[in-house]
Formats: sequence, structure tokens, C-alpha cells
Amino acid sequence: MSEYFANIFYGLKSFAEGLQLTMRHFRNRKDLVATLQYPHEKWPIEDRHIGFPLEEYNIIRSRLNVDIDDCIGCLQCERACPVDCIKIETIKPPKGSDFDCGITSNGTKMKMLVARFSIDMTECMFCNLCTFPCPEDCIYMVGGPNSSKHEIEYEYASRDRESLIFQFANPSESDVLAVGGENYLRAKAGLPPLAPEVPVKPVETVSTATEKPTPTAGEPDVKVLNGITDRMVRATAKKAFMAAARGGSDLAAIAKSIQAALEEAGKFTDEAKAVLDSLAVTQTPTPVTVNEVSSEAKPDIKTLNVLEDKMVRGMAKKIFMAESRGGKSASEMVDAILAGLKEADKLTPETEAVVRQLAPEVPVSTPKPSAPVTDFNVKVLNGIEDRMTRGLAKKAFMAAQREGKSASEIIQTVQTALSEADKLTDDVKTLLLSIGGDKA
Amino acid sequence: MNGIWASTLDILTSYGSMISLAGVGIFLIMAVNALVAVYFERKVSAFMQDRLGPMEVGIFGFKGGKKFWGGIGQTIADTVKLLTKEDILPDSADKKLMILAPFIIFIGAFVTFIGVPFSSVLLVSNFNIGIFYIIAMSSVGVVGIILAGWASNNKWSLYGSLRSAAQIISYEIPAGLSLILVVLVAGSLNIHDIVGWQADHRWFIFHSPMAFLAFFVYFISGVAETNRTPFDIPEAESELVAGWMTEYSGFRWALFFLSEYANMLIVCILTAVVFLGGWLSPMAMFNIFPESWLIFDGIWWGAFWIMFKAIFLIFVMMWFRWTFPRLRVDQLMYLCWKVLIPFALVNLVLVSIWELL
Amino acid sequence: MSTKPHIDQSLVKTEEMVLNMGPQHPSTHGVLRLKIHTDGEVVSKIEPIIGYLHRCFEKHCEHLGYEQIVPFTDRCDYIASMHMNHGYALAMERLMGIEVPPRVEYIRVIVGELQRIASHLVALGTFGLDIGAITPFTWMIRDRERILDLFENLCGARLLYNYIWVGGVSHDLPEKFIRRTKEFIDYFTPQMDEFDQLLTFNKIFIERTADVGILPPDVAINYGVTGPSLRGSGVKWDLRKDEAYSAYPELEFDVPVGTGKMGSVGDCWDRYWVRMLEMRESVRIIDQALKSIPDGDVRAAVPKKVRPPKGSVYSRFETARGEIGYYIISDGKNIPVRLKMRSPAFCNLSVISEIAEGWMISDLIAILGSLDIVLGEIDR
Repeated sequence: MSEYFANIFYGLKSFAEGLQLTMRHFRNRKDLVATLQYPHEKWPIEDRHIGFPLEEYNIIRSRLNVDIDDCIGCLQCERACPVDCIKIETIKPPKGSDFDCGITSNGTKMKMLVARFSIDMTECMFCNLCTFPCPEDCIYMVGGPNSSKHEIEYEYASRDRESLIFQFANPSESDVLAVGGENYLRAKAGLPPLAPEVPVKPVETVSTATEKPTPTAGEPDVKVLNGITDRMVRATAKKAFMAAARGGSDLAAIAKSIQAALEEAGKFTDEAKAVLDSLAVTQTPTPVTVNEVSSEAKPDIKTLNVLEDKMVRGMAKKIFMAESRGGKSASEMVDAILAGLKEADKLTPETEAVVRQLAPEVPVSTPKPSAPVTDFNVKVLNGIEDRMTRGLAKKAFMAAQREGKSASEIIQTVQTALSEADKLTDDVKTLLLSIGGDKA
Repeated sequence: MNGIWASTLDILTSYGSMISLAGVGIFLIMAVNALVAVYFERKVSAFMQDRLGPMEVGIFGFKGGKKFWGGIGQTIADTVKLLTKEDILPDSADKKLMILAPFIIFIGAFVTFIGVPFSSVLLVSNFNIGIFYIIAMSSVGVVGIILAGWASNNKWSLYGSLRSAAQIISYEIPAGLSLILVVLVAGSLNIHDIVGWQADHRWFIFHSPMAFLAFFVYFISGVAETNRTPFDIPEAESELVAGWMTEYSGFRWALFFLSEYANMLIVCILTAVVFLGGWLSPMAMFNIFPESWLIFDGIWWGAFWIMFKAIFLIFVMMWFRWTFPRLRVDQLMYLCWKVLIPFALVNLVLVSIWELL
Repeated sequence: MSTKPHIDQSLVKTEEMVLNMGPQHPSTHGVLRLKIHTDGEVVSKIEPIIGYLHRCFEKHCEHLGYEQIVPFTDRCDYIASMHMNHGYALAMERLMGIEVPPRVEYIRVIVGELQRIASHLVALGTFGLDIGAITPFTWMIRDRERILDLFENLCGARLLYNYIWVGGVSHDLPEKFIRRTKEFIDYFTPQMDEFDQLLTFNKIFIERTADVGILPPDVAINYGVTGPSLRGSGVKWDLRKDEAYSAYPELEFDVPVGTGKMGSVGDCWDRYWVRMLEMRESVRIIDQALKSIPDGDVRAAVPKKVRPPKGSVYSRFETARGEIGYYIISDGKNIPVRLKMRSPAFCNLSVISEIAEGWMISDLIAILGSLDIVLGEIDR
């Protein structure tokens, strides 16, 4: 019983104490209020300046910022990021280019152009790991009163996700092109990249190296027309395409002839027009000025590795490098190497043979103004409609090619073979003529 | 013939207008009470917790320069929000009962106000059984609570409603026993008679030590009956999510809210009337003040005093709520059956002896 | 005719009600789901269902460099991130055999004890909230904010710090840190008396927690319960004393254990009270450490590339919740072959079906609150 009353008494006492305490807080609210009315009053951000050059940076982590002018594209922050929210793309200017990438505020000379530096703050986990390895102190967290170097910002809330993906690098298109970033621009525009470029060793003059077009770009491709959905229209268009292509006309002319054919058939729909436009846009800008030699007779320093004598090899390579830096062609280089070796009295017949391999004896063909040389493979014969004839022609073509005959000779052979089998129709004859048979 | 009809119609219209007037008045009082009490509660809780509470809505917002009592439009904005909210009835709920339940609870609170005085004359009906009527009617809400819990078809709601029923029914007993003590002394159930007794003698709380104790027993039971902390086990947001209100939203939930704060007001006014002298001014009780101070008595001052006392008691309820933790179900029952009821019974006996002496 | 009530027992069918508590429930401290079988209000069976917050922490670590794992450990126990950092750094330093400068050890102890206070404040506040006391919670959160302000000043983040690194800490103490920490201690000591007055010794609170959910010491040890929950059962086991690491051997402090002051040893109140006392001990430790902190470079021992030798290490550390253990296997590369984390809250939670069965739903909430679980760490 006494415990019963003791409990009640203890309870009342503790209740009174608690009520007294809350009443004290109620009465002293003016001193004790701990909150701030957020949009009107703001909590002072901790003004801690700390960092790499001490007293420079603020470490309050609200957002990542990048001084892109200082970024040398070393990718260290990208590697440090545990969640891969930093994406950097750099373009290195080709050797010999005099493009100036700039100098950082630390005085480091930048060696490449940072084409893209995006940070996805929706993925960032604010761990601050990326800021430590940066050699130029150009990536840092912002959020407090910074030094004069960086602007003060407080809230980084946003209503959509897109605005939380920050693009720091924004190089001008001309800059990107100047450092050889066509592929980068193409990828940005959603186009397929150019074919892997031959490692730039300016054997030929710089101009040929940069102007070199892609092997595929100039090729009229009938596949473009697959974009047309109507079967009938597609067939008509393809036929016209083939005919025009066989005639050796360029893309604009092809498009025109297709259009004419479709209009004749009364099938020139909007869709077809769009496809034709794209054909013209994607494929016309590459003029067919192919320099066969530059791609096929590319001299390779590795050829010289066959040389057994170390001295000879070293000397040959030295000359090779010097010549290639001078932008000489392969044959000139061979001459130079041979001369050099002769001077040093090291020229054996074997060596000469090896060196001569640098420049193949037979330049494949000379550029032809009317027909794209890149067309010159067995596929050109696909235009022949009769299967038997096509097979025969291809067989003869391959045999002739294996014998190492020149283009005109090959076509001559094919023509002979077909006429022997009595399959040389007018159609085939025109085709063969169109790919250079007439020059034979 | 004509005369009889006319007089009947006259009576009917006069009664009708009186009834509708009273109804509108009661509804307004309930609504205004809820608006003010919610704001008051939010502010009290905020100040006790070193916060500021609502500060943005209304002319005295933070921008208005009021540092502590700003944001007075908050509850109005909340009401608008509640009334425009989507009204959700769960698929598996018993829809008819679920719709009915809030109205039963609301009607329980509404009808109780008929017997609740706001002043000596601001009283809808001066029953001869005034207190009995109030106690009886304030128990009607339990039916609605059980219906709400059952009809929601939610296990948490069911727990909440059954806890609530057990709690309210249990705490009726100490509350009733404490009031009987007053009735015994005053010799009437009529509210005018009880306040009249207090006017003639003294406030009932100062009648005797037993009456003083009875005041606390009644007030604690009143807190329990209105389901407020530390007796808020039917809602118990950390245990039962929201108890029997879990599945309700929008307008129906607003009715619950309205009724809850109306019940608070009823309990506090009744405590004020029965124990704290009702509409009598504090000065009138003690004879030490000069005569001229008695001008604070009268019809309108009476309304002021009764509301003043009620609001003070509401503040105490809020003060409890933001100070104490919550009891467990069995401890709640322990408190009722083993502490409050024995005390109330002993009180009753002792007061009877006191009166005989 | 008599109307004697007749109940045909074969027609009366009773069955247990299965209740789903969580994953969206106010008192499950995260996304824990408890499947409870109830008979009336009494809980007869509890099945904790976890995994709603599983983020493949351990698998992630097998693809991250050792430095990059540190921010991931933050996210396991997000209430006490410093301890998670520190535990990991300790394991790595043991694996690599790095000697850490004494200043670093002192900084780690100071921030660790501040973090312990912050974590216990959350634990006790939410425990009070579960019991129904709302005001203590807001007061405790208010004081925790002050600690978070200190941490923001220290390393720039308020919750997930990535501060304690392998071989050091990421930044030295800011100039005003020591003064501000002293101010905080002076401010905080009287606040703890207020908490006691408002909550700890409140009769209702005692009624709700004393003698509820008694965890006997042998059961606690069998289940691998650690930290304040174990010490609440009267077992004096604290790695800061028993396996003293960092600067703890040089500092003086007591290990409070539950004594059954209000009920029996190992009840919810004891677990609460042990945390309350530990905050006072933490204040004592911080006070001493601030006085005797040496000078030095904090990043002297930080390796340029964290590349531990071939081998494995198991290292344990006393966090605010118990023993965190890191088991790291290295094959000499810059990423671990395997990283296993022993989660204290997981072991502490596993004991709940043992101690909470037979109690009411309200008690289950109280017991769960007293165990102080963090779902981020349980699910990892």
C-alpha cells in the first residue's frame, strides 16, 4: 500500500517537474528559439577556408564547380570519382599543329583541348574525393563565402534533372576542328564516327593528311533508300539509283535522277523526298579527290625491323624518321635511306631489298576523274542482273586481280571472258565501260 | 380555424428559427474553436519545443514583423486544404458505415453543446438534467469511433477504435463520480443551480479538500475522454499510425478534427462551470475586492470569464500533451480502475460525511 | 424459458492476427518490416523482414579503390558516419601497417565522441518519440544540430563526412574548432540534466520502459549483441577499453553498464540510461582530448596510392551502436578482393524476437526503439 502511494507521489512529482520545465521553455521562448525562418533568415554558412593552396577554397560541400580555363584534362578527378558522375573528353591536337591550348593560372601549359567536362550532380555523392588529386586545383566544392576567386552561391535546388547536369567545357566548334576533333563533333551530332584514322604520320604533306576523306563517304550507298517504307517506291528508287550510279554520276546527280524517276512514276512522296534529302546531305560533302598512294603506300618504319645488323637498322631508322618529319614521300625516303647507307658503306643487296619494300614498286592506279577508284573491287559487278553472267564476270575479275593486273587490264580480262562465253550483253558492256573498261 | 392554423404556424416558425439559430451558432462556435485551438496548439507546442511554429500564412507572418505569434492564417489555409483534398474510400472498406461514422461523431459533439453554457443566458436549453445530459451525449461519439475503426477494414484502425472504446467507457466512471460529488453538494443537476450554489458560497474547487481532488480526477478523466496525450493511445501515431483515423482523409477527417477540439472545449467548459465558478468573475468570489470591481460581472463579462477559464484549461491540456509520454493500454486501465475510481469513491463518501457535519 | 447463454466452443474460432508493421510505419526507424502475430494486443511472434534498403555495399567495394570505399562506409550507418569511417581506416591501417601521427588519433577521438553524442541524441530522441514524448525529441535534435554545425565547419558536410581517411584525416582542425567544441560542451552539459528531468525520470516513461523487454546477459552474448544494448544488460564490454585503439588508452573514462536502477537489469530503461551516461562520458573524453591534443601534420601518413600487401585483416571498432567489424582480403591490387562488414545493428535487431515476444504492441515499439537500429547499416 505504501508503495502504491509512493508511486503516485513520485509520479505527481515527476509530472510537476516536467511541466515546470516545459513552462520554462514556453516562457523563455525569446531566448530559447533555436530555429530560423528559412527563406527570410539564413543560417550563416561555416566560413572555413581550407584547401590546396591554403586559405583559397571553401570546403562546404554543396556543389562541384570547375574552373575550366585551368583544367588540363588529366582525368584524375574522373578516376577518383566513386560513382562516375564526372565525364571528361579531351582532344589532343595532332603533332605539328600550332593550336594553342592555353596556360593555367598555375602556369602549366595545357596540352589538350577539353571538349567536354560534365558533372551530373544528380549522381554526385558529395564525397569530395575528386577535389584532392587535381593538380591545378580547378575542381572544388562550392557552397560558402569563397575567396574572390569563386562566386558565392547558397542553394542549388532545381526543378528538373537536366539543369543539374553541368557542362563546364564549352569549346567553340572551330577550336575543336582545329585540334582534329571531327569525330567528336560527329558523335555530338549523332552521326557515326569517321573510320579509324590512320595514325598521323605526315608522310605526305600535311594538307593531304588532313584532307583525306573516308573511304566510305563518297560511295553512293543504295542502302540509304531503305528508309522508304513503300515497297514499290523503294524498288523504283533503287533501280534509278543503280542506273545513275553506274553512269558514274555524283550523289547530287543520283538524287536528281531518282527524283525524276519517281516523279515519272507518280510516286514522289514526302517521305521519299526526306530520304533523298538526307542522302544528299549526308553524303555529298566529300569530294572525290582520293589520293590512292597516301593510303596504300604508307611507309612503315616497322618494315626496317627485318634488318639484322643493329647498326644498319639504327641508321636506316634514323634517316627514315628524319625524312618522314620532312614530309617526304615513300620513294624519296627509300632513295634517301639507300643513299645514306651507301655512304656508310653498309648497303648489302638484302638491305636494299628490305628498304625498297617501303615503297611498293607498283603504284596501284592513278586517280580517275570520272570513276571513283574506291569502287574498284568486285562489288562493282553486282550491277549485273543476270546471275550467270555476274558469276562468270566475278570469277574472271578475281583471277585477274590475283595476277596483279591493273584496273584496266582486269576489266579487259572480264570483257574477254564474257564475250567468250557469249554473255556480253549491252547492259554488261555499259557497266564495264562505266568502271573504266573504255580506258583499256 | 384560421386562427388556430396561424398560431400553430407562428409557433412552428418561431421554434424553427430558434432551432436553426441555435444550430448555426453551435456550428460556428465549433468551427471557430477548432480554428483557434489548432493554431493555439501549434504555437504552444512550438514554443515548448524551442520552435516558432507556423509563421508564413496571414497578415502577421514573418514578413509582417511579428516574431512569435505570426502565421495566424495557417489554420484557415489548412481547412481549405482539407476540404479540397481528394476523398478516399478504401476499396475493401464498408463504405456506408465509413461514411456514416464521422457524422455520428460530429453529431455527438454537436448535440452536447445544447446543454453547454457560454454564459448565464447564452445557453440553448437550461435543462433540469443539464450535467447528466452533457455526460450522456458526449459518450455518443464512441459509437462513431467503433464504426470508423471497423468500417475502415484496417487492422490498425480496429486496434485504435477498440482501445478508444475501452478507454472512453472506463473513464466515464471517475468523471461521473466526480460530478456526482458536485451534484450532491449543490443538490441539482441543473447548471444554473450549480453555478448559483457557487455564487452563494464559493467556487466548488475550494469547497473542501475532497472537491479539490475531485477537480483533478475529473480533469484527468476529461483529458482521457478526449483522447489526448498522455492518454492518446487510440491514435498513438508511433504505434497505430493514426489509430481509427488511419483511412480517413479530406472532409471526413476534418469532421473528426472538428469533433475532437469541440470535445476538448466541452470538457473544459464543463470543468470551468462545475468547479471554477462558471461565469462568475474571480473577483466576486473573494470579498476582499472593492465593490466597484464587481462591474466585471454581467452577461457578457460572464461569457468572457467562462471562456477565459475554458481556454486556460485547454492550455493545460496542451501543456500536458507536449510534456508527457504516452501510457500503455493496461497502464491506462490501471490508472482508471485502481487509482482514479478508488479516489473518486472515497471522495464521494468523505464529501457526504463533510456535508453531514 | 431460461435464456442461459450457451456457447458452443466448437463454433468459436479464434486465430492470431497477422500484422504488418512497416516498411512504412512511423516507428520502425527506417524501412524495417516486422511481421507480427498478435493475440489481442499481445505479440506472440515476430519476424523481422529486412532488405528494403539493400545497396550491395560489399559487392560495390569489390569494384572500388580502397580510397573510394570510405564514402560508401558513410552511407551504411548514416547516423554515425564518423565511426564507420574510423572503423574502416583502422582496418586498413592494420592491414598496411601504417603508423598514424598522434594528432590524427586525437582528432579522431574528438570527432568520434562528438559523433557518439550526436548518434545517441538521435537514438534517445526517437526512443522518446516512440513512447509518445515529442518535446525531448525536438530538444535533442536541436543539440545534435550544433554538433553537425561543428562537423560542417570541420569537413564541409553535415551527415556523410568522408573525413577519416586511411592514414589520416582529410583536413586539419579549423582554427576555431577547439574553442567551439569547448563552448558546445559547456552548453550541452546542463541540457542533459533537462533531458533527465523531462524524460528519463518521468513516471510514465519509467512505467513504459522499466521491466520491459528484459535482455539477459547470456542471451545478449549468444546473439552477438554489442554496444550500449549489451552494456545495458550489465556486461562491461567496450572496445574502447578492452581493445583500446587510437588515443583511448591515454584518456580516462568509465564504461557505464545497466544496473537495473528502475526495474531489472537489461530492460529498456537500462539501455536508455546507459546511452545517457555514455553521453556524459563522451563529454569527459572530449574535454580531456581537447586539452592534450598534440600538434603535427594530419596527412603525413596518408599513402599516395592505397595498395595494401597481400593478406587479410579483421578489425573491430566500437561505434555508437556496437561493434563494427571489417574483414578485408587484399591480393595486392588497388581494389579489395572481398570486404565483409559485421553490422552491429543487425545482430542487435536479431535479438528482438527473443525479448519482445509476449509483450504488447506498444512494448514492441519501445523495445525496438531501445535497441537503436539503423536500417542503412542492417541492409547495407
